[in-house]
Amino acid sequence: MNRKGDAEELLDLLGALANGSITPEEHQRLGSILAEDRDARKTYFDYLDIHFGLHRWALRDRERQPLEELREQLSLWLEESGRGLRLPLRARYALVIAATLAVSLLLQLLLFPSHPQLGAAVPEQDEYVATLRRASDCVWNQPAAPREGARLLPGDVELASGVAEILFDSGAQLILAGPASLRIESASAATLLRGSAVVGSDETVEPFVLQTPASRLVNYQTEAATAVDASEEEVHVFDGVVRRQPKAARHSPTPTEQLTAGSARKYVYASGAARAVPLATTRFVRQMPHRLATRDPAASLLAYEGFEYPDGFLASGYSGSAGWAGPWAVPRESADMFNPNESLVRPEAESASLGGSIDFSGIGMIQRQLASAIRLDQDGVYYFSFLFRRSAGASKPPNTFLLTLSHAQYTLPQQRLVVGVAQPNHVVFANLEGGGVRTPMPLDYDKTYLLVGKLVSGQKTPDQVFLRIYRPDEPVERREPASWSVVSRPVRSDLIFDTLTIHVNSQSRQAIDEIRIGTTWAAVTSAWVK
Amino acid sequence: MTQGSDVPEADGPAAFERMPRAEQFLEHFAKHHERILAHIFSLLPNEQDARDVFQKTSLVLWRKFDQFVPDGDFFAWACGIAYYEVRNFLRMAGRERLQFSDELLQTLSEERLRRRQPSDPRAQLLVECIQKLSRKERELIHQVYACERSVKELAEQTGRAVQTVYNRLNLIRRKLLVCMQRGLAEQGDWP
Repeated sequence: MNRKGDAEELLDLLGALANGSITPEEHQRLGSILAEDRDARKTYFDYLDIHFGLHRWALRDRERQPLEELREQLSLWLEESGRGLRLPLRARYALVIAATLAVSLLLQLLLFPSHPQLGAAVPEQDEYVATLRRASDCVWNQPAAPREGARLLPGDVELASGVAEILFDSGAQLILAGPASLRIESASAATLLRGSAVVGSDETVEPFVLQTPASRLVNYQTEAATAVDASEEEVHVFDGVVRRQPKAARHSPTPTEQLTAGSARKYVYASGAARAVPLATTRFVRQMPHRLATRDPAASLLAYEGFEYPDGFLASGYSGSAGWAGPWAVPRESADMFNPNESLVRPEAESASLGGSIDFSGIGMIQRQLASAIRLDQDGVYYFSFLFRRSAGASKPPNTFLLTLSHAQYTLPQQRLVVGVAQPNHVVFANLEGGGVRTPMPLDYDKTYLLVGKLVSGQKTPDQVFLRIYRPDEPVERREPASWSVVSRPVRSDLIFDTLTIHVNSQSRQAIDEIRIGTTWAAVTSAWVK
Repeated sequence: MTQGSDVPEADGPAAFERMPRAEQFLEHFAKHHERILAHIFSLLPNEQDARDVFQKTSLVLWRKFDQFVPDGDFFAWACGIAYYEVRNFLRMAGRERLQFSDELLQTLSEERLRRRQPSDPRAQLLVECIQKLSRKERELIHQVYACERSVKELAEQTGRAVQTVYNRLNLIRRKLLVCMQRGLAEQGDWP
């Protein structure tokens, strides 16, 4: 760099690079300068060192660890690998990523044995790793009893009686039969401290590690039951292969066993003896019990809006809707948002949709207050659903509709839950206090889709949003699905929502209908289940 | 110990040799992972991209650890692997990422490796330079770097234009650059 002007230009370009606002032309110019000028490259390194260093500085209180401490921590994690390796979500800094990766990597490749401490406190964790998909007659022996649909953090699950289905984020299913104590370690690992559990996984699921006080069981494409009590454990393999590694292998060369389908073995802790036992195909709970009496989905419906207004006016107050504290607030310029003549429908469930719909092009917004607030400051699970249809023809963004949950007392734009679809490429998005996520979906114009959402709230645990979009001909599950189309980042929020807003900003028509908010999956989907 | 060797001094090479392979790896990794990430960041100045490549690089380092000469230079070896992982990442990303030419990337990688310095004095100096910023300036970088607030969001909240916030950030980094260069010069480490 020979001239002051050159240095200024370089610093401007580096600033844009660090800000993430650099244009392709500016980036090309920066490349040219760096390619030609060694001094410019020095400045580049120094500038990026500062940019990198600011990340470190900003996270100094949370994640910096002295080197030796980190090294010891790594060794400790390695040593205690069986207790799982989940790290706090906030520990996003590279040090911890490195440690996580290194240790989990070593675990995968070396299958290090482990020595979980019974009753040892599990470190505080921030990241959800599983979902309590179903609970049948469950009595929980823990302070906060989880409800169906609840997201689960790493930690202990104490089931006094009943049967619980836990779906790990890795895809593995675990059916826990009470009385049982399970320590959830990570999205693909758990420790069964007592009781019985059946792990199921297929080829789409990464290997699941179920530990016991004495062994480490690697399940891959299996259905296998494990029973643990104070003196012994049993493993029954119904399908696939389970690799069992005794923890004693750390100190003596006990070989790893391959338990194949149809085999079952008992292991006595005191003597170390192992012997074959008959395969118990009916002793374990391998499927969730069918409910004899299905709860009425309507009982857990908080609010419903089908836009059935015979007199043609949204704000008139009369409708078949329920769960609202008053009529829609409809500004004059948004009066045309309501189309009384067409309701959105799903094939084979046409009778489930009556009246009209929101069907509008332009800029408009209507608002209605909920009778029951949605509270993110308390432990809970909320579900919502609605039909939507987007029409082709908008040449300019945002080409969007939004459904927003908010409260009048909040003034900041992030203090709300916003769900919608935007842009020509159908970007489905959910924003909640910094946990926003956007995913383009292969949707078609002029087709009616069902969007089902789930909002997990926690008093002391993170809040998270899940969205699932169903094609017109796609069957809707009776139970909450194992996978979601869009998953937000978990955030800690204590917001309280009492107002629903529908907002359209599009040159082409955006239609919305059949809005439901409830506390169970069935409450918001039963109308669409064939 | 030869120059550039990473063998822990406390226990000596012999003790290190006796360590299990996994622990040897951890020993090296714990010592150098920060600088490896910084090296990647200088080739791929996007935090999330750099993290992704760092994770992949870490995996490859472990898989290839057999090929690492026990008393060799782990950091240089790791940076060589990181360079190829950056290239792979950019190749996969294609037009989704703005990227430098292969030639420039190689030049940057080589020069970065040659000019490596112990990171701690620089980190300490940066902290001192940050302390010289005004409270408002520190608050802004905290919002952007720690809270990961978008500049647009900050601009909306404070009622300022987005470009104004960008300019303030650029000004802060320039101040820090000058402060760092001055400090390093005083330590005999500049240019």
